[in-house]
Amino acid sequence: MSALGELRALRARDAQGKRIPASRRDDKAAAVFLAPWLIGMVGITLGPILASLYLSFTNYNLLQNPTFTGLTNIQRMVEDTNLGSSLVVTLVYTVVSVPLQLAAALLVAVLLDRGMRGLSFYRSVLYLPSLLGGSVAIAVLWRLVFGGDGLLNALLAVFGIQGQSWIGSPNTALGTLIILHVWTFGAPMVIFLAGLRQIPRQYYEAASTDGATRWRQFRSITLPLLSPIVFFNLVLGIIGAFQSFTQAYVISNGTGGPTNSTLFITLYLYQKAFGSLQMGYASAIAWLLLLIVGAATALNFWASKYWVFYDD
Amino acid sequence: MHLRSRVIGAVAIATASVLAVGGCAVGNSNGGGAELSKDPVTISLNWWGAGARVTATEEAVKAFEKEHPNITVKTQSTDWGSYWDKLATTVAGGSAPDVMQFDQIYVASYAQRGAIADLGQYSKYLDTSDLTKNVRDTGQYDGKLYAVPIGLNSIGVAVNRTVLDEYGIDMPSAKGWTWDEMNTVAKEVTEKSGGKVKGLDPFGGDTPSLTLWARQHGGAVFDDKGKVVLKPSMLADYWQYALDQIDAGVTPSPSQLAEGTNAALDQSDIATGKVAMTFIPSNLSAYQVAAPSQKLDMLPMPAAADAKKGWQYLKSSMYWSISSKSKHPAEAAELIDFLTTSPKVGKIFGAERGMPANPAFQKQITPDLSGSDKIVMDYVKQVTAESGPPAPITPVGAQDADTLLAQIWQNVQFGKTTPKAGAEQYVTQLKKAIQDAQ
Amino acid sequence: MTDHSTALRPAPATPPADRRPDPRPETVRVAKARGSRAGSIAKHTVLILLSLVMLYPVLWMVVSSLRPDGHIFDNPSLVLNTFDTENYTTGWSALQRPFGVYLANSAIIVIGAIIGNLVSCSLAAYAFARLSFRYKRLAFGAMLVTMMLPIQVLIIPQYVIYSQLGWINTFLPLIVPKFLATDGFFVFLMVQFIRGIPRELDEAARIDGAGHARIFFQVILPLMKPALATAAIFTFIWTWNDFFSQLVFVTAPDKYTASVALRQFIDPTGQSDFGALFAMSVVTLVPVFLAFLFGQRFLLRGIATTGGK
Repeated sequence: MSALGELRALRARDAQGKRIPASRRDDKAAAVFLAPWLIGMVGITLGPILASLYLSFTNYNLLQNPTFTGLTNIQRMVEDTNLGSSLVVTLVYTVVSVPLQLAAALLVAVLLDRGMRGLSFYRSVLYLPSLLGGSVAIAVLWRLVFGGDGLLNALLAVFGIQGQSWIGSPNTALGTLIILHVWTFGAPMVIFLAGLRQIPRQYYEAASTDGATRWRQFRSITLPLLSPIVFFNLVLGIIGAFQSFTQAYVISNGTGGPTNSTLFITLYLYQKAFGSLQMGYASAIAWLLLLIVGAATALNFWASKYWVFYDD
Repeated sequence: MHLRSRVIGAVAIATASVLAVGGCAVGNSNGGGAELSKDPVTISLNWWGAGARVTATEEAVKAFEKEHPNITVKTQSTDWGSYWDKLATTVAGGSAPDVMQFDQIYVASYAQRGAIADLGQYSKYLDTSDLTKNVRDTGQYDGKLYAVPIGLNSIGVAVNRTVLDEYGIDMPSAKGWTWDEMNTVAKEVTEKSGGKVKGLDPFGGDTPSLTLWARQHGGAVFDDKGKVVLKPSMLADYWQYALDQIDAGVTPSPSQLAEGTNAALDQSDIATGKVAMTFIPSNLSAYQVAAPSQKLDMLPMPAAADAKKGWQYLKSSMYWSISSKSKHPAEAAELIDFLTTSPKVGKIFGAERGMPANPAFQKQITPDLSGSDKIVMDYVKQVTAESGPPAPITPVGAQDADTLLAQIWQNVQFGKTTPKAGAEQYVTQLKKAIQDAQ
Repeated sequence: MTDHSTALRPAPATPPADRRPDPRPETVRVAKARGSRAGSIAKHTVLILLSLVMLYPVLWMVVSSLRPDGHIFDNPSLVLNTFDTENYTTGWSALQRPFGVYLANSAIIVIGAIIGNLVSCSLAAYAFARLSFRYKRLAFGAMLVTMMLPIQVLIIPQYVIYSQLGWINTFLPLIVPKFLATDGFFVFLMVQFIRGIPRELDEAARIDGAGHARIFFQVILPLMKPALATAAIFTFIWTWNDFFSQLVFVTAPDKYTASVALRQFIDPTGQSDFGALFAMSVVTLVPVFLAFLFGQRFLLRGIATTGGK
């Protein structure tokens, strides 16, 4: 804070002439600037969260009042095999697709990072899919690429390979979604590029004159110095993966099939809420999702002290 | 004021309002407006089904507006999948359409929860006396009429004549055939076409065909008290039959079937010539339109020689209902009356929504029917002659019966469970769902 | 320095400014240079192949939209030998309303969302970045946490609230929250940006007698243009592509947005027409692509700055 600011803080007094501590000096102004945010926070975020907590303990079909049912929903969740499947599917998806996507992003970022010609072209081209990846259009396209008569099989046929219905087969349906996620590596790649640029060239030069191989340099310089950014991308990536909905919904046509192999927990929640009209149960599932995301994030933060290296 | 207490106050208000919201749900059918108004009135009409149905309905609506100049009808249509997702939420939000197309899966559930109106209140405007008792009763819940049946259908088998002729296979008799005969035809098609065309798309995931199967073997799925009476062994046999067909290679693979669920009609296996036979709810015309180069025919469900008599029955394909929160129920009733009894509508709708439930409409359109419409009409007449009492509509709490069945059937197809285990699971879960809804 | 890794730490004794001449003999250097040219060619090849593979599905979709329907799945190649725009005209009128209606719906929502975000998030960001007030840390933390909340936890009660307000089936549930700074990501983005604006400018204005309002409008806001542009473009793309909330809150078919309408093409009532689907998909993706072309700078920088410290 500048000297002038300090001075002002010292002199601030409220209506009664009492000194207002620096930390509260702008309370009134803040209330004005933050008014929209506060309304949104309470009405659209906080209120609904608490309400959904309450609804988790009720039976609510939207057509009649919610009836309090205590722990029935929780008991039901424990016995619900579909819920179990959806948890497994979502977990597998997250654990596989997020690291794969980040690895691809990192690899390509390293490949690109050397002030090479065409850098901005490649960067843009490879970034584009991540802009499109969340859209319905791409999800529908994906269905047609990996379908029994789809693009992939047509390409394989050129090499004489007989393809199958990738989205119709329980073993590979989730794989198509994973591939879709990895396809969008462009966004984390851009972040890695920015991060790579901040690593002083001299470190690499010094290491290479010391005889370190490119791989050693990568492991010992790039990775540690990039680790805060990797961590950031990992946290956001995991949170995002747990919340995935559109792609699974479109590719499985809302069914989460075949045989629940693409039943993301968000899709199951949607089915229960708007399909079966079991809003109370769906709210319970939503809270379960929230707790899982929270736990995963906390776990991430805890584990970060073992591998994230801060340069400060 | 302290920021903290302000925040807490705000949170309390928000929470309370959300909870209060939960308490302000639907439920009171006001009964007000049960007289036709002289003032201009606007009512809304919703249905599912695109294409020809949209044109036909809008034409019918125009005819209605001509006869009732002070009533304007706003129309809206969507696809089957979204229709039900949205209906419940619009009902809860108080913006439900006045007149809604309905399906037997949901009639009981919505009636029990007070979301659709008891039509007996509007008998002054809505005359259902044309319908036979059997048909009208399919729109009842708890002794009251909540939905007016519009059309009738019955699960049968669509057969691609063009393919059968191409490979020189004899078409089975339209009077009736057996399960074994179906298998024979399926095998012949598959073999003679060198695997290019498979025999059929198997059944397995819809309760109407399951109901017919159960009735053939002397059982049922639901009783008229809303309980599940399906024997797991019957369901297991039903699935085993289809599974045997899959194993014999006369059907597409489970993956292909999975990919094709919810496919549009012109992408369906029968329209694209991938299979020669498929089970359909007698909407042959829609498939024929989707496959103009093929000639489709309609056969009843196969039945063993010793099947219980009267196993056939006609299901109401769809109904009209009135929202219990409608502000203009009298006008809505007038509209339904017009749509179900006016000869103008009989002509406009034709057989597009299934064979008309109203016998007068049936008589009216029969002479003009041709092509697949005629085939369907003959088929429905045949079924009517052989019908037993209709099966009960889906009870309260069982609206997921089809989804659940399809889901477990898929598990069976991919070998994740056996027909026997899957059937037990289905019956248990279905019973529980009904119980939970009480 | 807290060192948690077992990395090879560069020796701090070698000052970065110390440029020692490359001791390697001439031939080695030339060989290295030539080797690196070959390496560079290899690298470019890999990158070009990668780009091709990445873009292949999208390019195929565009090319297929210009082929007659019915020949789409026969032809996996990208060779454009026909330029048949029939799919576009068919697709435009394939649903209950001309597709332009759905595009317009999306546009309305997007414009509302952009304005809402720019207004409310900049206000909130100013408060977090420049003001001192009670519970500031708590509020900021709460805002960060909301960035991580799954929307599914909120959607049901939100739906109930909106239906009681009569907002279901209007665009209000999709626009009004944007005016209430519910997108924590942009608040965060702008906070970071404002922090980079020297406080001296604020002080200078204050000496002239400006209160916070004037400082905000006359000092900070004009300097925030890059952050505002970034927020606008991201809002545009995310809202345009959004599906879930649009699916839930907008129920009448003629109010559908482009995303929801697209899904109709693969629903099972009647005909499906993949050519038309592709054509309308291309149409729906064009605005995103254009936003990308014009806003690349902001997009890439915006991502990079929030990804960094």
